[in-house]
Amino acid sequence: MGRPRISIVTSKADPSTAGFAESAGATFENGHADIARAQVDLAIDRLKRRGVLAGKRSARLSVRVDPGLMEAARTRLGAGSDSEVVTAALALLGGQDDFGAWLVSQADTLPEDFELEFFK
Amino acid sequence: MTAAFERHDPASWRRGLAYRARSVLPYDGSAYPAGLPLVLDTTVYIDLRKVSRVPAAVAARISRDRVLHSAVALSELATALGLLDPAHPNTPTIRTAIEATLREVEPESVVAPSPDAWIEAAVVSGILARTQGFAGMDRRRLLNDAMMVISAAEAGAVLVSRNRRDMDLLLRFRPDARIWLYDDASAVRV
Repeated sequence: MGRPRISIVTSKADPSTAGFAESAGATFENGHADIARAQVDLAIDRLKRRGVLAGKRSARLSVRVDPGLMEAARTRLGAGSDSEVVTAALALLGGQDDFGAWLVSQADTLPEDFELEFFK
Repeated sequence: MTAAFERHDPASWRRGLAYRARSVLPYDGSAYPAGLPLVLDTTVYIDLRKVSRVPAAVAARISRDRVLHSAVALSELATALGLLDPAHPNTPTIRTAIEATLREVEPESVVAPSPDAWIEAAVVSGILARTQGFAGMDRRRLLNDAMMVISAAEAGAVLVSRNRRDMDLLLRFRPDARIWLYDDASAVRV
C-alpha cells in the first residue's frame, strides 16, 4: 500500500487559531479529541509567546507519510483537514514544554559557591 | 477551610521529632511511576546550573518528564534578584542565570498553593516551630517548604529536593506526599 502524498498549507491568516479556536476553554465533553485540541492550542500559544510563528500560511509542504499515521493523528484530533492534522502534529512537536531538558543543559552556568541566602 | 486546619491536631504533637535514618527516606525515585509530573524544590534550579550536583538518575528524569513549577520556589529564586549585591563581580552571571530560568517557565506549568494548602502548611509549620524550637527565618523557611510539599501533592506531582531535614519532618504530617530526595552528587563522589 502506497503512502499518501499530501500537499498542505501550514497556516491560515492567524495560525494560532486555525481550526482550533472552538476548543479554547474546552469542557472536554468530547473526551480525547477535546483534550488533544486543547493541547494543540497550548502548544501554539507557546510558539506564539516564543515569537516563532509567521502569522500566515506561507510554507507549502509536499510530504509522504504512512496513511496509518495520518489517520491515527486525525482520529486523536477528532476530525480535520490534512492541513489541520499536520499543523497540530507540528505544533505538538515544536511547541513542547521542554523546560526540564533545557535546565539540565544549563550546567556550569552558576558559580559553584553560589547559594540562595534569603532564609539564612 | 475546616478540613484544612483540622487535618492535623496540634495537641497530638508534643515532643520534638528526631531525624530519621537515610534508609527510610524516599531516595529511590524509581518507586514513582513514570509519567508523573515533577515539581522542583528551589535548590534544584540552582544545583542543575552547577557542575555534577544532581545525580544522573534525577537529572535524566527531569530531562524526560513534565516539570511543573512551584510558585513558592520561583518566588524564592526571585528573591535573589533583589538580594544580590550590585557591586559584586559574580552578580551579572547569577542575575542572567536566574532571569533566564524564570523567563523559560511556561505560565501554565506553574502550580500555586491553594487556600487550603496555605492553611494546612501554616498549621504544620506552626507545630514544627514549637516542637523543634524553630525561630525567625527557620519558621518562614519551613512554611515555604510545607507549601511546596502540599501544593505538589495537590498537583499529583513528585517534589524533587535535597532538603533532607525539612522533608523528613514534613513527611510525618503528609506521608502521602511524593518526595524524591537526592544528595549533592559532588559531595558524594569525593
